[in-house]
Amino acid sequence: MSSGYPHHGPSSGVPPPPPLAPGWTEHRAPTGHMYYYHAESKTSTYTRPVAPPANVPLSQPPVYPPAQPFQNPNYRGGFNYNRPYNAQQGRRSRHQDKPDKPKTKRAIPNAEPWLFVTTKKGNTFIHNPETKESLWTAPDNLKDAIESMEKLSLEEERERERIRRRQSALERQRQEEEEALADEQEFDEAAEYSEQDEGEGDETNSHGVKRQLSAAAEGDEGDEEYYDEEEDFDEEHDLKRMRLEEGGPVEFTEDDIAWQLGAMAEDYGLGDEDLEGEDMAPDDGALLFKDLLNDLQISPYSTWDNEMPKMVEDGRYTALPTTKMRKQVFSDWCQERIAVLKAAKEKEVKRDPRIAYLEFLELNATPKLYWPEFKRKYKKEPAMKDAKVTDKDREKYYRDYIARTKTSIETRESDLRKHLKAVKDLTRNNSIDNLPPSIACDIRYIAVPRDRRDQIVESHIRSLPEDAGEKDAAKDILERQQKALQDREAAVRREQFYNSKDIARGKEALRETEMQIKRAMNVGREGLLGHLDVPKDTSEHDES
Amino acid sequence: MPPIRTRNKRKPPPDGFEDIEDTLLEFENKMKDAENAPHEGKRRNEMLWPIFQISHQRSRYIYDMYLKEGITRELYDWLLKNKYADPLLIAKWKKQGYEKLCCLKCIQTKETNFGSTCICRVPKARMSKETVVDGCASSD
Repeated sequence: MSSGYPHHGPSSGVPPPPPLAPGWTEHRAPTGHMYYYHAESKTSTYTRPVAPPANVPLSQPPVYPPAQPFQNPNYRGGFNYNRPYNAQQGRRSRHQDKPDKPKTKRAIPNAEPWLFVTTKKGNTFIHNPETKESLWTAPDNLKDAIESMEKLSLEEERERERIRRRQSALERQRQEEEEALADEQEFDEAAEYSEQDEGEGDETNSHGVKRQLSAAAEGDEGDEEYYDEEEDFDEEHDLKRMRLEEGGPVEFTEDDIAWQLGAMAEDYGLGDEDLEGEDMAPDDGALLFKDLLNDLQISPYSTWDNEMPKMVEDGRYTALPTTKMRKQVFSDWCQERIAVLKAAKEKEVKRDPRIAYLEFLELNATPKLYWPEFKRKYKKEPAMKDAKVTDKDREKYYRDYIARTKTSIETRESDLRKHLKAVKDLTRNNSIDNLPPSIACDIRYIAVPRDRRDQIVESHIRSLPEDAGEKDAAKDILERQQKALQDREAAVRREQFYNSKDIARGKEALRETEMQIKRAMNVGREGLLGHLDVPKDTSEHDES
Repeated sequence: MPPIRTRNKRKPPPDGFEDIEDTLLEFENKMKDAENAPHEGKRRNEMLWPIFQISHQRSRYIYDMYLKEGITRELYDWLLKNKYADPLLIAKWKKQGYEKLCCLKCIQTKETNFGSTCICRVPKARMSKETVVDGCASSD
């Protein structure tokens, strides 16, 4: 919203409000006008009905508040309108609280120390930094200098304005949408008002107001008019200036509408921050988009191209501005989701794939169909397609099942009982739902009708010794411990045995070398010759 | 005559195949459609474009799934072995500058008259504005 201009609402001339007359209520038209409505007499008026007159006559035409010339330096003709307009605006209490601050300073050519200051709220004054003197109205000797300066800046201003318009076009559209939503109630009231206004059409002033009202309403609703306005902005600008000089009724310009939108936003408790907040942070957009993906139960194992058509319809699809970002978020989400699904799958108890097939057999197998026929008939069933069970197995189970269904129920039951007795991994802890695969995947179990086999299995489980499993487990642990101890002891003994052998061998070797040395030292009368002459003895000794 | 290995007679694929099975089937159907599409009025190379495109998409899908850990290494290898994806193309994607390569034909310089690559390997920044090409240069 452009804040550089003073926005004069039509009611800016209304003095601080005196209390309303009883029965009257205050409303704001979609255009931002304040109007007053009397529920009992169904009358509405622009003029504020105050308490002392008590009753506003029906015939009194709604009076448009005196048009104020624009106070922007670009718009006005002279210098004496530069009064701060805050004081006049009772409505904009929020903005009233904030002190006005200078926004731009420009040196006035040919009048050196003086600066031309524009405030944030669009007021202008001149300031002399040397003497620290500020004046709302310029002295006569400066007027010419300022006027020439403004002529130059007007061109710049227009250029800037055009750029800004383009930038804020999107934002404005969004605000309009919001406004259209918010206005619906008030629009009804306004319609009511304008109907009544028809009756009092002889007054020219009321005509003027009505025209403006409808023009503004159109401007609010239809974008085309907006853009038309934008296009011939300059033309309109000149026209407006002429009209201002004439002192005629003020046309609504974009600035007015913008200001009115701002006022509405305030009424609905939306600050500037809220309006700007429409452009969400990218994180929020991503979160919203992920929300969409979760809600629509998009498969993370699929591709973007496949899933995209499902989500285009949803409003949250536009939470992210570009498809590139959407794809990125989709990819991230897929990764997260896959991780979640993987974790869930790991926790899930794995079911033998054969069980599903056997259940399917129980339901659909009949002796009337041969295996190839059965296979052809049900080839699309998931149980028949599951790759975990081979076709060979399937055929075997089918033939076996059919063969068993042809026998009597008694033989099938006795077969099952025999099988149960033979099975060892069934314990008391098992129930019908979690039977070991040695039973659940056995054709003897499946061949008995469900209710009968449940009875048989349950009674068998009850007949099993109590806590056999637990005792076994305890015994198992003890046995294992003892065995480990024994193993360890044996290993230690073996080690000790080898060690002692090593030591003995070492001692033997030592003794032998000692003997050799002793013999060598034992030199007799013959001296060393004795060793040479008696080779027999040494050789004998060496051999030993 | 060698035995015909139908789907039911084969060894089952590794775990996790059922997750991606539907998407792969869709690619398979698309490929069949592209193969059977009429060729009238098309150039010789033009006929192959959709084939390359679908092949690229499928390889990309499988590679992405592997990177996202949607499929295990075992299954990934099985898919490559069974020609669901093009391992040579995926190998190129691992090289710097070839991250988005659309097909191996595009970098095969021996097949072109001037020993150059395909136009889709030219970065968008280098291309004149009139040329509209969906490039596969990694900088795009």
